[in-house]
Amino acid sequence: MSETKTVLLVEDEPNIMEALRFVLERDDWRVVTHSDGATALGAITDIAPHVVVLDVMLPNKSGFDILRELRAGQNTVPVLMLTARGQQKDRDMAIEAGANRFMTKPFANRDVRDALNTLIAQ
Amino acid sequence: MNMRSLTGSRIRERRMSLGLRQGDLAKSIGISASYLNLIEHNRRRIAGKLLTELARALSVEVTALTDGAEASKVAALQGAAASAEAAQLGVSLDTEQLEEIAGRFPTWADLIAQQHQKIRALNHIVDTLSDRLAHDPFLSTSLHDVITTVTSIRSSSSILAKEDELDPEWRKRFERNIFNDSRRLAESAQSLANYLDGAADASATLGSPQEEVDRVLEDRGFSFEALEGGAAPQGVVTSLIDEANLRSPQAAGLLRVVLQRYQQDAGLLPMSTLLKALHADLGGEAGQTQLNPVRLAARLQMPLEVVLRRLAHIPEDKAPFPMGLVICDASGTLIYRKPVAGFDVPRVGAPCALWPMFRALNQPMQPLRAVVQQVGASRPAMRAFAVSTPVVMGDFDRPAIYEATMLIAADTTAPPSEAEKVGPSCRICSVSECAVRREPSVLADTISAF
Repeated sequence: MSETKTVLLVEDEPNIMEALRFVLERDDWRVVTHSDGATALGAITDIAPHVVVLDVMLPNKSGFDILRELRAGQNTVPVLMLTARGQQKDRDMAIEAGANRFMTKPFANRDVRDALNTLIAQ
Repeated sequence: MNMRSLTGSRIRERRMSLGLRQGDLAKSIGISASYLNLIEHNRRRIAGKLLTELARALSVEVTALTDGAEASKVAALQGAAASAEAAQLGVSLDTEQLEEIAGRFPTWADLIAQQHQKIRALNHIVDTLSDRLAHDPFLSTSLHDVITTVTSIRSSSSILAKEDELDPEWRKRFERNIFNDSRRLAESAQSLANYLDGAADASATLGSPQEEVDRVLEDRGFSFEALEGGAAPQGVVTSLIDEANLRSPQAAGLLRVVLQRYQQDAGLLPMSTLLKALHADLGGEAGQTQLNPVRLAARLQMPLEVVLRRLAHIPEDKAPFPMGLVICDASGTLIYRKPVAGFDVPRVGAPCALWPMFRALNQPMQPLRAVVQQVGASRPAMRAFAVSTPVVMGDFDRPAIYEATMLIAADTTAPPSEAEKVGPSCRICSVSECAVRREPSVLADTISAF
């Protein structure tokens, strides 16, 4: 039996969080959620998930800033960034900040699921 | 034919339009009618005193006779020939033919000039609208809201559509989520449509002088190296204004005021002096870790408002953290705005009355500081420092007039728990029950109170 993987969803939109939680739990993921930007970094460190889904627009601190601080602390957890902006400069910014994958809203549930499986396999 | 060689024709045209007889005009300036006839038929060159007297007798400027109306036509054609549109054609335009076109085909010349002006005006509107779209906090927030809601609906509906054996409790929950999200989406879309309708109405104010100046400052990154050092050569402000290529003289006037103050500040407090003092103050010899502009002003023996303005203009790569600056006049109107990421400064309309700078207006000369945080996503707590100082000194029979200056420091040590919640402006603020609200919000998704 394979080890249950933990994903931390950092997203402030409760309905998106609920839908993703449902889909991922069906796929045997252990899902932990967090919605505040200011304390997200501590949550990632404390929970030590296998992968993080990180929204860009969060209360109190942006996803970009959280990711930069995470990488500055030498944390290499795979991060999938979610954003409502899909311009090239936003992608560049995400990659520069240390994102492993970048996904533009609105996304399909299966795209998130596939992306997480790919990140875990790498 | 050279424009000056047509001077005689213009004299004749002007004389006839005034209903003057050739002999009478000649007599009035002391020459013979036959000589004037030769002049009028461009067979005698005319200049100097005689030309001046003829112009006076015909009640026109000398240049109207020497250059004629074609001068403005030629200038307009030169502008069209030098335009980006002409360059894009990839053809070589013979500028020597411009005078001939202006002289021989004046109506066509007018048409080309008018179309060139129209293209310039339209380009300006496109640039301004693009700029607004890129910087408009409402559009950004509203579009984000729409996309987020659509994402939520898509995720929930996809579960309902694809999960055949969904637990009734879960089904009910996702149906409720979709219902709530669709209602929210309708409201967001409606408010966005209303806003865009309003923006279209406001297009008459596009490119206001203040907006032009804001764009120049943003394009230059709010930094003018040529004005630093206190030994800027005379005329550098004028050169910078010329380089800005502003459309209106009003904008040029506003930019001159901004640049002159920048130059004056740079002379009073050179950047190297400020950086040295700031370094010493922040974690240096004083062992302080937080920015304190009052302490810095005392150390530098400088007025606080000068220190605030100079701090805001430290080059990005040398600043300890990003800093923005807003200045308002005594009416509360923003007259200078240097934004900082995470703290929206409205470009149009009045800002939130809860900003510390407005408290400063009520307490002249009293430095104020506060940790502030704007409502909305990705809005970190920041430190704000404000002071109001006189721009017109009071007299026995005249009150002093003040302006308020506020520095906004995106210092990551600012604790959110101590932050005063403020908005950007009422129009795009999500707090519905606010004691200082002056107009309704156009946002669909609001919270009741701070």
